[in-house]
Amino acid sequence: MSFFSFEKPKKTILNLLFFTGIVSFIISVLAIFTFVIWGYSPAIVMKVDKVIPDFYGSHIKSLYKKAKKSKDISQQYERYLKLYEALENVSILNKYYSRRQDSAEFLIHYYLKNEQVDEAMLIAEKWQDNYPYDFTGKFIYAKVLSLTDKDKALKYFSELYNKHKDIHDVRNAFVQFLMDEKYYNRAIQEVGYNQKLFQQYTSFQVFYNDNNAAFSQKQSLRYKNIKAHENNQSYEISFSRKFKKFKALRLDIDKIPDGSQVTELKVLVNGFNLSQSLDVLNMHSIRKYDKDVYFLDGADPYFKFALSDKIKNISAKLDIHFSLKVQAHSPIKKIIQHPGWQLVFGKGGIDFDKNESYHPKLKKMANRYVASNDLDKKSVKQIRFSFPGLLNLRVQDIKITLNNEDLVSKDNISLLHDIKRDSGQLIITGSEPYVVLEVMKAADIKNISVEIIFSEMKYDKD
Amino acid sequence: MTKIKKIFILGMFITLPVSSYYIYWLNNTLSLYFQFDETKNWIHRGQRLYRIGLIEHKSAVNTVVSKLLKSQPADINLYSEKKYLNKLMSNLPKSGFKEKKAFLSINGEVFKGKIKLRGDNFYHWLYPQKSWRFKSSKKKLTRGVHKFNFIIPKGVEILNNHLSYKLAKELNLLAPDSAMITLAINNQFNGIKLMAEQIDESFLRKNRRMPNDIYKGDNMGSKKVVGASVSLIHTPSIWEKAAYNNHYPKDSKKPLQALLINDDNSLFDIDSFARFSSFIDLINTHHYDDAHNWIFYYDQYFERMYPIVWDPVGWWPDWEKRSAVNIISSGLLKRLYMNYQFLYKKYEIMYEFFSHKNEFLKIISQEVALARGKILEAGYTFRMDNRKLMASSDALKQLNQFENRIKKRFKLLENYFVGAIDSKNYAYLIAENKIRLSIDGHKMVEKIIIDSRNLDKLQTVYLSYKLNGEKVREKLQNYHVENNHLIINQKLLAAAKLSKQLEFEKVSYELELDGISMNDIVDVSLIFLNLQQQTLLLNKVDSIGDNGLNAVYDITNQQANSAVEIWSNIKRFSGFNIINNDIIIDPGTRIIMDENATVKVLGRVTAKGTKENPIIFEAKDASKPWGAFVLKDERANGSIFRHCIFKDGSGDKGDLYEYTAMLSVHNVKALLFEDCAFYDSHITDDMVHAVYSDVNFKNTRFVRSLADALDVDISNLVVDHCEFIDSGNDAIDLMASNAIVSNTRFINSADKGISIGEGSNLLAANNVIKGNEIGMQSKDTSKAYIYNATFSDNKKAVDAYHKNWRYSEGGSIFVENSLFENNNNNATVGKKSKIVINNSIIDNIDMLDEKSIRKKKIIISNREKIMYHFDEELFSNKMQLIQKQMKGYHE
Repeated sequence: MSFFSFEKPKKTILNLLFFTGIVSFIISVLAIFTFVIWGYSPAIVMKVDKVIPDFYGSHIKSLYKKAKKSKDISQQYERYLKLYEALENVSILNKYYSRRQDSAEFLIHYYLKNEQVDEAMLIAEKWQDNYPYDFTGKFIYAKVLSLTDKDKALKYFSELYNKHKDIHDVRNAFVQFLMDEKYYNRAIQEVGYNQKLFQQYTSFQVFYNDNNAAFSQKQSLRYKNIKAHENNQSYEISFSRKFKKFKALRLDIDKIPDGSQVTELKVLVNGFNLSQSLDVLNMHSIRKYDKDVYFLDGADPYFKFALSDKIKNISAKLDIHFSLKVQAHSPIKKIIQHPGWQLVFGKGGIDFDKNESYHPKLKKMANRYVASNDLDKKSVKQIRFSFPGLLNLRVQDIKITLNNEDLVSKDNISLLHDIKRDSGQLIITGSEPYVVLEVMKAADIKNISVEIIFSEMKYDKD
Repeated sequence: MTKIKKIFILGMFITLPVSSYYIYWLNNTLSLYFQFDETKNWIHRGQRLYRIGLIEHKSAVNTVVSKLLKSQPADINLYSEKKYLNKLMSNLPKSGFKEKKAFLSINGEVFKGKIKLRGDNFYHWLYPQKSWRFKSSKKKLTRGVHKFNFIIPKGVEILNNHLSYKLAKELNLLAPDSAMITLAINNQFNGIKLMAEQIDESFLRKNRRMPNDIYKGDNMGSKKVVGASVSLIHTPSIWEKAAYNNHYPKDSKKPLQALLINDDNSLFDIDSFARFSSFIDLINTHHYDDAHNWIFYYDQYFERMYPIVWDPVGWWPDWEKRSAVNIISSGLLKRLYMNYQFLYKKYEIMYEFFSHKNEFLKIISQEVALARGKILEAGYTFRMDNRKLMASSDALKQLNQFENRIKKRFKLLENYFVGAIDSKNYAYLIAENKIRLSIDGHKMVEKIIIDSRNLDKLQTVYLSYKLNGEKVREKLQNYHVENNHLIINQKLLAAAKLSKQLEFEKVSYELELDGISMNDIVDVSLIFLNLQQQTLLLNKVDSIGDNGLNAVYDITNQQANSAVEIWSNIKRFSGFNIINNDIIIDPGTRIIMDENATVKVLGRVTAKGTKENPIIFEAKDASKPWGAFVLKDERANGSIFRHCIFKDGSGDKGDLYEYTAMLSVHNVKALLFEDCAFYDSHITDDMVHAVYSDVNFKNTRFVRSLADALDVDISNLVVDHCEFIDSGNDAIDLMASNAIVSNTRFINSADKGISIGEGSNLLAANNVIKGNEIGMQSKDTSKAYIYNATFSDNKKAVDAYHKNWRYSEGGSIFVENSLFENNNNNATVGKKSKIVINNSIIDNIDMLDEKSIRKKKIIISNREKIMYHFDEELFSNKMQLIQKQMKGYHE
């Protein structure tokens, strides 16, 4: 007996109807079963819900996991490409948008490494065009653009910077971009950070170990959005506690980019008829640059303080007061902290004894960079002032004050090496730039102060 | 055929619809279920499938019902072709935000426009019931609104936002009009929605505010900044503009930058922000935070920033537990709470509200009743965020709880702000020739009363207190003596301490009464601003600690304590000058201004010159125009200028202000100019500009203005017996204003004699309009009633048309008992406008547009009746201006 036959259409139709009837009956039974469960036993639905696989999430996660665990770079490229293709057109509201970012970033770097700038540009362009609120895409786009058209890149980044000057990361990225592209003077000019922007993110956590084995979150205090004084740099934190057994004290500085600078750190402990300031015992992810100048350098930066015998293990109510200045990370430290800044002192003649040298630690003051130090140099007649070998860096003025009274300046230059003068500026032209300055009357130097004013330029390559 | 076969085949009448429905439902449920795996959301597995199943069931039932039976009726229906809707849904969320052609039907009226989805969060676009936005065509606005939102109600109570908007309006805050409605898409019922107008320029015009910048701050959803650390309340560059002042670059955000980056607290409109903060407390919301939900309007003429209420999510159950008073959910609010003038204002607003709270309770009852109706109509509601479906019976219970929650919240705040005082919190002592007051608790003192002998010897009153560890001593001016009692109108609060919320601590204030011996003091009382208006006779105590205030400011309103300065002979100005004091200008005084010099006066000016010795405002060098003389804000109310001459000025413009005229009047009432003259304005748009003001000009001349002679925006104006001669543009330019112009001559204006625009009303009587390009022109829902006028030698005597699409209609003009002679054209009418000329003499009837007469856009009649129809107070009892026996005005 055949189910389907043109010769017996009526029978065939009835068979088809019968078959449809069976199917729809089965589905109806399923439907009734489903609706009954939905109506009377939602707990079953909820249980079922938990075991349904997340196909999409598993797929994306697996692609990402594989990409991370690739055996070599070309396999990694293939796998990241697959991940990127899976997420290429998702909106920022997609759960796995961050994976799109990761894959795009990898691919762009991969292409750049392999000099496939066009491919990198394609991805970067899409990133910056389609995701207007994603700044990572903007920064990367500018970087890729700089490889194809430097002027266009500068224009793009300048526009971004002018629009979003109030975003610290944009300022930072722009200055870094200028540095990378060797627009040194423009970078110095733009680095005038609005510390207030930076302040938004500055937060602190004080850990006090009171009769505990170690520091713990329980014995800590968080300080967010605290108002800074003095040009938005100086912070003060105070707290009081009745200690059972004061064992240790630590100050963590959170959410601040590497390279940010901490100065004037003071910790004062009052109470129990004593008033003592504490010294830094040790540091984590913090580098000491100069006396009382520290740079944050890594994840989880903190200071631990030395407790004197009088304070250690004390059981008393204490008022603890911290004060410190925190300055934003500056991408121009490549210029300012360059080892090329050097003063070598001579007693006349041609030779300068390198043992008689001094590296100024420059600090920003208003529009100038200054350094001062106590020295002990005898009968100095000449100073050889070396500059970093950063081509086209322009210095508007230099002033050296000896013993707080004698001024040596540009007017005292007797020799220029790898440096040219142009409209009163000194422009670095070679890799070993220096000037020789004549000290009017030979002096024993007890104290020196160096002041540098960089030229203000729109495009310092002009 | 076997029996079984028959059963299965016949059974298909039942099984086929059931299985078809099941397949349809299952497909929709599972595809939506799996979409959740892709989208950021907080509906966790375990909860998701069950809820989606129910939602899809509701949606499927609606679809089936609307297709097979009569569709469930809805208040508003959006129609769009299937292909457009398919495109909108093709690749959500991206595709949903591209506008598509549509129609909106409401109360039998149909409006053409465009629709799209609105809202970033998944709950707005992922479910079958979505949030929509309709943008009407510019040709036909929907009730003066350009864009409407139809938003899924937040909360099962459905009224969280709608009632909050109602309350905001009660508190005189800028808030959108809203209503709870049911919506259908192509006749398919789509549930209950909150209909709320979009905040844009149309919103400002509707609220009689000048079109200026609106800033929207959101760092959430698709607008969340990634790849850079930002804080919304410190980063103006991530705010967007929803309206802008076209006198500045479109992307300029200078006022917002001043507020957020420079911390310029003077930009906050204290009154509005105190209302806003009261509103936040009353609705118990924490939804205005450092990440989203801020809308600010900067008014360049008030020079202040105003909050606009949006998405407040009032009385949300989760926040009820916090029981917070003085909610500080954002750093912006924290900045405000440091200002004592803000705190005082907030107490006043709370007092005002709770004195009349029953009015709002009635509104609540009405709106809850309406909401009940909507829930019963829909048969269900959803909780917006997690989309928990609720049957109507449960939803009604939630609504009852919601109403109780509001009442409970009100009770808490009433007790806190304006409830009974605790007398233990207040005391005084007399020491070192001072009265020291101790204030604690959280009630506000409104007045201090000192019962004393020899008050006639009182010279000066000082208030001192410790602020940030330092002593502050301020001279008070707002006091008077009444029946041996010194009444000092100085508000006092305990020491505000700011943390996550505001707390008050004990503080001491000292009063010094120069000229009064402390031995004469009998007692000291305090009057409180509370519902009982309590007066407390203070206990005299032996000691009061020296408790001070910290990190707050403006304890007394020193700005209100202005002195009077007298100007006489010659007074010179250069640069930008702000004068806080009241000013008396002697007759014959010459105010000589350097080039671009501007004087902004915040006090009251009394400038009474004489015919022989007028007061003259003039340029040091007539070829170098000065800037502006500006009168601004309430303290300048009632200023008088008599026999004053203003000449050779221009205007001034900065990042945060603009003065478009040599005499610029911003937010000043009861201002009088009599027997004055304005000559030769330069550079800027206007000779005289009034905005948000009430100004009266009598016997005043306006001669040779560079552009408009008198520009009036959102103000009341009375002009009587004046002259406008050789105006470079319009003689009078009205925008959203009410004006009465009588016995005035308009001669040789390069454009209009009177331009009546953007919803203005004009009553004009006994005027001569001669030699102008256009005599009078009415536009954009403006109305002009003109009586006994003479229109002669104008290129066009009267004209009406529709200019600005933001207004639904054009202008109308009613001319009666008037004379038209030697005009090139007597009347012309454009779209959506009309002119009626009644009982008037027209020298040449051919000089009327025949087509417009045919279309009855121009009506010529000869009725006797003379009447005007304005409801505004300015026009009441002005019939005496109209003299029936006159026909045209002749000198």
